[in-house]
Amino acid sequence: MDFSTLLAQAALNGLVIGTMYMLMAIGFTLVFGIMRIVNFAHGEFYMLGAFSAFFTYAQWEVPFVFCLVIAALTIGALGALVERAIIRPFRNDELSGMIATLGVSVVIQNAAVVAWGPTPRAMPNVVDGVLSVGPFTFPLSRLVVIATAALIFAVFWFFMQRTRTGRAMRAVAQDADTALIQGIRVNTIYPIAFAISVALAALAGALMAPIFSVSPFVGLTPMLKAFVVVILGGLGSVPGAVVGGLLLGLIESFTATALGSLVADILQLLLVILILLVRPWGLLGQKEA
Amino acid sequence: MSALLEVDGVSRRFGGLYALRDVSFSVGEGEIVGLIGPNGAGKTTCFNVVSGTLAPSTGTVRFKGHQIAGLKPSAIVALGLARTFQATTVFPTATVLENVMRGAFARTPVSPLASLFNTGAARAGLAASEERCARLLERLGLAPFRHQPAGELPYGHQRRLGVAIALAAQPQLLMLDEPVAGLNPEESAEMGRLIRDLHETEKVTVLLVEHHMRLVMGICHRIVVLDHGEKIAEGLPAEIRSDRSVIEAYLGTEEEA
Amino acid sequence: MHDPRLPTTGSGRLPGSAAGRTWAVRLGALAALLAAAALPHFVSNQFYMHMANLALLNAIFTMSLGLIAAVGQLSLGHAAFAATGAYISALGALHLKLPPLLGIAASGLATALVAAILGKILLRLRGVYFVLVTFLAGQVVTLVALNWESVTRGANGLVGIPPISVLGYSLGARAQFYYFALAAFVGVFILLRALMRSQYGRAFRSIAENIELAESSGIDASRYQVIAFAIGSGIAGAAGAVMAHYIRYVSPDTFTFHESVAYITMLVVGGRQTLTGAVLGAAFLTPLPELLRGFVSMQHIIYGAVLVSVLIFLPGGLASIGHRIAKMTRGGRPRP
Ligand SMILES: Nc1ncnc2c1ncn2[C@@H]1O[C@H](COP(=O)(O)OP(=O)(O)OP(=O)(O)O)[C@@H](O)[C@H]1O
Ligand SMILES: [Mg+2]
Repeated sequence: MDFSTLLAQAALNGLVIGTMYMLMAIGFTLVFGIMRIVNFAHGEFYMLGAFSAFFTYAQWEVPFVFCLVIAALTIGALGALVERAIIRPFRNDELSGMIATLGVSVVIQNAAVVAWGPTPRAMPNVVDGVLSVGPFTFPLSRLVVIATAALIFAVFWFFMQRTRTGRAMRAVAQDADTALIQGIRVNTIYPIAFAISVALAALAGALMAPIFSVSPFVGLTPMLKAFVVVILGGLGSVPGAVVGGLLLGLIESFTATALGSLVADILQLLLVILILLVRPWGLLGQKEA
Repeated sequence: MSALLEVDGVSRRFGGLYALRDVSFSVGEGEIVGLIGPNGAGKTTCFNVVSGTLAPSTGTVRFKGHQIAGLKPSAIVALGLARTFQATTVFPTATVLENVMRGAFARTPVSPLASLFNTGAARAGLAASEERCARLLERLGLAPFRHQPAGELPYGHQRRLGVAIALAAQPQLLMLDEPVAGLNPEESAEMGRLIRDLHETEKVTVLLVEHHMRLVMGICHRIVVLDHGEKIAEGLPAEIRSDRSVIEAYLGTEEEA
Repeated sequence: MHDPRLPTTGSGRLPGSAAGRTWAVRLGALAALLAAAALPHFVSNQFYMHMANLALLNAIFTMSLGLIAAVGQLSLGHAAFAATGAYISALGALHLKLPPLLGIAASGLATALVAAILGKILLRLRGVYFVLVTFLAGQVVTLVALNWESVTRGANGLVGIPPISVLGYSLGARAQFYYFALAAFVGVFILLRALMRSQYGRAFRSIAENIELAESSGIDASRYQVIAFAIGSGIAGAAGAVMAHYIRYVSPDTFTFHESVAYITMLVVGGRQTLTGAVLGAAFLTPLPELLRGFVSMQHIIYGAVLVSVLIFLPGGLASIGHRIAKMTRGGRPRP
């Protein structure tokens, strides 16, 4: 295999992982920006999305598009429920709210172990075949992931920009006090924001299920990466999450090829800690006024 | 009269906004100086810079001849400069007495290490400090509440406790940020009497931020006026009252009687 | 803590009933200690002894985490310090034939030093940012332990760590180790209690409650936060070393993110405000798995559920139950 093929492959893999990081990070940063909650259970919703796709697609053979819709809706609804029952009591206490999400994470993960067992399961690809462009060949399955993620992001972006609810969410994220004075109702905005956030995580999980395996423990790494991305892009910043996610995926794909993934991971974490210390508002973000 | 506090050419920026721009003034020993200006003029920012909560972008601050700009607040308190806050003023779950004991932290003659071993000397030192704090509460009329959590006190008492916490540090210069905001007329008058009384008997120098003009005009020897971060006037109360630029700055903002 | 509303006599001294209660507390503590010391004579089941040992060690971890929480910072990397201490003492014993007691002391000092240096940098961050950075730092420690195979032997871990021996007397057996753990627990409890009652404690509480006001009261917040972080992490490091010499084994899985979460759970469930809370949390949650032996996931579910319920319904933790009852009974009585 020659060098340019290797590079093209690394770039494609980087983009695939990057879109996953992007979807994870958008949801994570959305909830932080709007609710000031650091959601340590975010990875578990990714895991639930992966399982949902596994059951609907691999076992019941539902068309994949519907699998995605089902994952987003059911897990989004679960998210709204979690917000209502568990997060809401901590509106003014972000530290306790965060500890509560730790509890939620432990419960969901282990409930998955009890229900579905700890053994990883493989899921078949959604499409087979390759796309040949000149000397390069790309597996279609990867391209589908990238295209779907882009579509999901487009829908999300449209929602945030063009709908009343989306605009209300942005207003709360920008300046909660003013938004509240203008009559935006927190009790409707918060559950919706949380539902959208975890639905995005579930979609990421569903999309990645055929690429990685499906098990109750698959949520930790995506969550860790969401942290990393969000710190790069600035806690609370959606554009930061998009750019940071794609960038991190690409960088990782290239450095892992060069350094081995464990060393790359350690360096990445150290770098992020450094950024957090020097620019807590993010590498790409703006300092808060 | 030697200057106790000298603020010299201080600017402070927040992003592109100058909250303070090239502000200079001084406070002489034994004075009561008022610092006034419309909302957002930079008064609290000025307090924050002087007390060490914020570093100035440029400029120097001297207290008793020491250059203090950029020092930690705790070091500045130790030198004898204490301040109160416009909003958050007390430790809500601690008792009133404990609040004042915390205020006296820098003046408690006990090293933390000695208190760890609870030596006889440490106990005596803490008892002396407690004695002093109890007297302070007595003086401010808060003694009956000393074992109550501060957060349960009525608002007016909490404001007074805020002053007590600052006084417990035995400051030479006491900086008060809107001490009568939200108080009813009797409480305001009482606070005014207290400030004057402290000034006369304890020889405390006072720098006072206040929107309550009657109080400011009544007790201040000298007044400094800020607007949009800049000093626009300085002088005796009577001069400030009739100063054109001051009147203009306040025009349109509802001036409190 | 005495009741703030009690009328005082003379120069703030408490009336007889409160003084009597202080004595009752002291007697109760003494009785509990005696009962604890006698425990091995009544419990012959090795597994229960093991539970008791783990509960004592967990109480130490949780109390030391509570010390950091007392300055208003939540560390999600507490287990990483325990891991660091465990590896230091284990490597010392395996390669340098360092006596375990010396290794434990060295681990405590080394982790305290590391925490003091790290704390100076990390404690500039507050609230959720500090939690995030400690979480990430904890992940780094786990990854390094996995990856630095020449020293840590990677995922296999270090085996054959010698047991603690005191004056040539080996504490390999569970009942013997129990006395060591009990002594360590009592020592840490007394130290932290003295600390929280001293001017340090006053500074810690001030900072946690209102950091701006604390600084304006002459309390150097960053200094006291570093002190609390260093002492808390140092204790965790030493206790991690003790654990390594007790289970005779340490690997990257011994002290992970999950252990950090477990300590937070114990702290929150027991009560964040008092030292007793940390002890109650460890005492309550350590043996809980025993009810569900062999069904690990179910234990975790219960841990998580207990954590969330306590946060919502009993924010003061188990330690606040007594307080609540006292308040209710007093509320029924007319005031003098
Ligand atoms: N930490 C900060 N970050 C950004 N801007 C700030 C900060 N603190 C103050 N400002 C801005 O600086 C300006 C001066 O504010 P400051 O609080 O000093 O005014 P003030 O004179 O005390 O007003 P008031 O009478 O309302 O208390 C305002 O425009 C304010 O928005
Ligand atoms: Mg102000």
